[in-house]
Amino acid sequence: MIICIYSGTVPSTTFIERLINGLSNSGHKIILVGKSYKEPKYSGFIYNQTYRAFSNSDKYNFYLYYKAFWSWLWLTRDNKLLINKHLKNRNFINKLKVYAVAGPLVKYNCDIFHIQWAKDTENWMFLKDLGIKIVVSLRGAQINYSPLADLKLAQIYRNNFPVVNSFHAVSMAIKNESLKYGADSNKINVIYSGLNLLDFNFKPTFKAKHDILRVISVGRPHWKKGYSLALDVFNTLKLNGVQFQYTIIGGLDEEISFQINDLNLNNEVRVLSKLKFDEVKLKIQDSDLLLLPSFEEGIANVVLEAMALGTLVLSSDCGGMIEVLDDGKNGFVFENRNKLSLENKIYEILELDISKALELINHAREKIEIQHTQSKMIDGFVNFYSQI
Amino acid sequence: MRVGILHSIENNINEEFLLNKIQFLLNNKVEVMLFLNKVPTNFNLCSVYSKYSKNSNLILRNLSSISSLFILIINIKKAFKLWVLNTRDGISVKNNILYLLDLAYIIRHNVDWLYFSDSTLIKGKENLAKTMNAKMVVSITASDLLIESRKVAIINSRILDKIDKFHFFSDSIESIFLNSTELKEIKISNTSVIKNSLNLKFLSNVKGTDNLNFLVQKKIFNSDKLVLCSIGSLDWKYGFDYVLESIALLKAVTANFELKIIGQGADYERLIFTVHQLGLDSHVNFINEIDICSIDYQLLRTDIYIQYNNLVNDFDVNIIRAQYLRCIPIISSAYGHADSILDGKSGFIVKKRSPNLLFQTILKLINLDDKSILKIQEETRNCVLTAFNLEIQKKNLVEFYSISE
Repeated sequence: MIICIYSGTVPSTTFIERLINGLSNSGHKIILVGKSYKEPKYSGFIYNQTYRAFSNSDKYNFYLYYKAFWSWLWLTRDNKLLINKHLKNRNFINKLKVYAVAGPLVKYNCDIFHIQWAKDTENWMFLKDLGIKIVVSLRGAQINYSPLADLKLAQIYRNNFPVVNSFHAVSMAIKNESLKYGADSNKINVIYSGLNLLDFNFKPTFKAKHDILRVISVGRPHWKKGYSLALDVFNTLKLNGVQFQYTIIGGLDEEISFQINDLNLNNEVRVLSKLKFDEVKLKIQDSDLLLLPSFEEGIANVVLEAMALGTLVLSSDCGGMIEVLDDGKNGFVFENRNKLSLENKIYEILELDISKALELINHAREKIEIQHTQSKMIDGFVNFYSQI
Repeated sequence: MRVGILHSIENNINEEFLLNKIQFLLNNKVEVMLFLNKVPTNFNLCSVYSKYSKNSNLILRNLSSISSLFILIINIKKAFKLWVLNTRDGISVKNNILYLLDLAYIIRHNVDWLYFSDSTLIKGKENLAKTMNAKMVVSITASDLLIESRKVAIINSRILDKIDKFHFFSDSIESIFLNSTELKEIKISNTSVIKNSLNLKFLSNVKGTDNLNFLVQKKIFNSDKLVLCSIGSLDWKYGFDYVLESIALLKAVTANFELKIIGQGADYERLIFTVHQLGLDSHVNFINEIDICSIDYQLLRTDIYIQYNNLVNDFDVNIIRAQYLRCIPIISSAYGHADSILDGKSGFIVKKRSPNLLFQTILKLINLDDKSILKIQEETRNCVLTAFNLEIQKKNLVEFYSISE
């Protein structure tokens, strides 16, 4: 079976990279499509149809012209007629991109075209007429809130979702959300993100009561990560005399920078820019608590990673987080957007015995071993593709 | 006298301060040239010059660069002067060329004053006024002083030395500026405060109603439904997140209300999602219209006006308009609005970032008797009529530009 993974950029998110590597390492043939900013390196058979980004505008991306030209040569006259019929109202660059992708799909007899970002669905539905099955991944913002703000996008989903061959959902929560846009429940497979546990050395970490609580959050500076809410809560904790050190890894934006200054939290909160993954793992293991204050997530990888590494997790109940976290059993969960709920959970954690904390941490690792291994994820996908 | 105004717009010119200012200068026989990043629609107050935007097509961009080159050749003396001044400031050859091409459409004009309506516009134009033998004026806003990255850009001696006059929209911002630790060693005396003012002319243009009559008849509070309104750019600075949190608390007490959020901005998606997650879909309406007449139309139908900024927005005239139109204002304790609102008398000031307190204040207002509400409405209206009179702004502008009336 030949599978084309269509990703926005290459390399892509942790989940997608794990999928690409996992499938190619298990002997599957992959065609990879997306915009790359550096030469991607993968093992296994991967036809690399990425195109380099030379400038902000693809108009000057001569590599794209080159790829589109070769691709055009590979297509039969009938293929071209079919593609042209679908490209009537597209602009020139969009047509080039479609040609650059369609050629290798036909040449290598691609069976499945897996669109990682649902927003792109409409662009590629015509591939069904070339005998290629369409799979769409349902993840994060693209399903949870973009169509709420962009009614045109919601309509695009409603037009196309009913005719997509199959869907992959990163969580049960997002599966339910996608039903609003006409996705067929029977065609949606929930496959959870998986970790290669050999890369995650389990080292349970938690300090005794009444010590300075070391809290860490990892993620880009984006409103949906809920850092502004976390900072408001830490401000209240500080005013109530709680001692803590809060580290955010992922960089700073204007809003967070201003809020830290405004709330006079400069001594308690530090923000680190992007670090290498090994360094992030060390920072997580060096903390008592990983906090995920997000307003929206599928299932946050960083939570899975912290659970695998042996750090206690406190997360909002947004998206699919409660599918991995069981409040008070393998971590803690607070009500999404509820500051008081977060504050109370932190007080609960401050009072936690080491033995109880270690029990939760051990249960968290067990949960990952049962539900979130890379082999389980890849087996899930292989099974999923074969049933389409 | 000629005044050149550098300004940045999204789609059109809506800032009342700027419009009043241009009108006033024109009335005083001052020639005004507006240099914009985009060509506005339906704007004919004064001459407008703009460069093709970066989004224009390839042919237009290339033609624009060629015409810029010709302009620079014709104005070779000025171009050379700008080149030398930029080089002295350590600007690289590549950037210098780009700046010259970028500014050609301004360089070719002669002005006595070059006014930067926003300090972020200065970058790459530090020596433009001197090149044109004009005086450089900059409006400094709260964001310039309170957001670290902007502050660094504005408060450095290389730029400060080049500015002939600093304009502030409120005394408090002037005070923050002058008391900045970075400026303690430098003596700055060339500052002026010119506040926003209320131009009643716009009110008579509001579509659909005999507005002045409507205003007189405006009820204490809408009897059928409480209407709240908040206006601003949809970004974190306006604190809409906190407003929505407080509205979610209000919903638990009464379902008979509507919140109108008027504005455009990058955080539209964020706010729509917040509304959705807080279960407020049927209580919150986003209104995209931002022209003054549409805003007045909405304010005439508003009971409580909320401006719950996280930081000062000292040039926002919407509060003043709302007060004039008998909306009771609730504002955050962030600096800047104290001139028009006396807490408990002509409006309410609530500690910033405290949605619970904001909710309590709304609740308190709902429970006030008609007589008390009427008293606050009158007080708030009188306050703006005296403090934000257009005549005061005119007088300040005369002094600022040394215009002989």
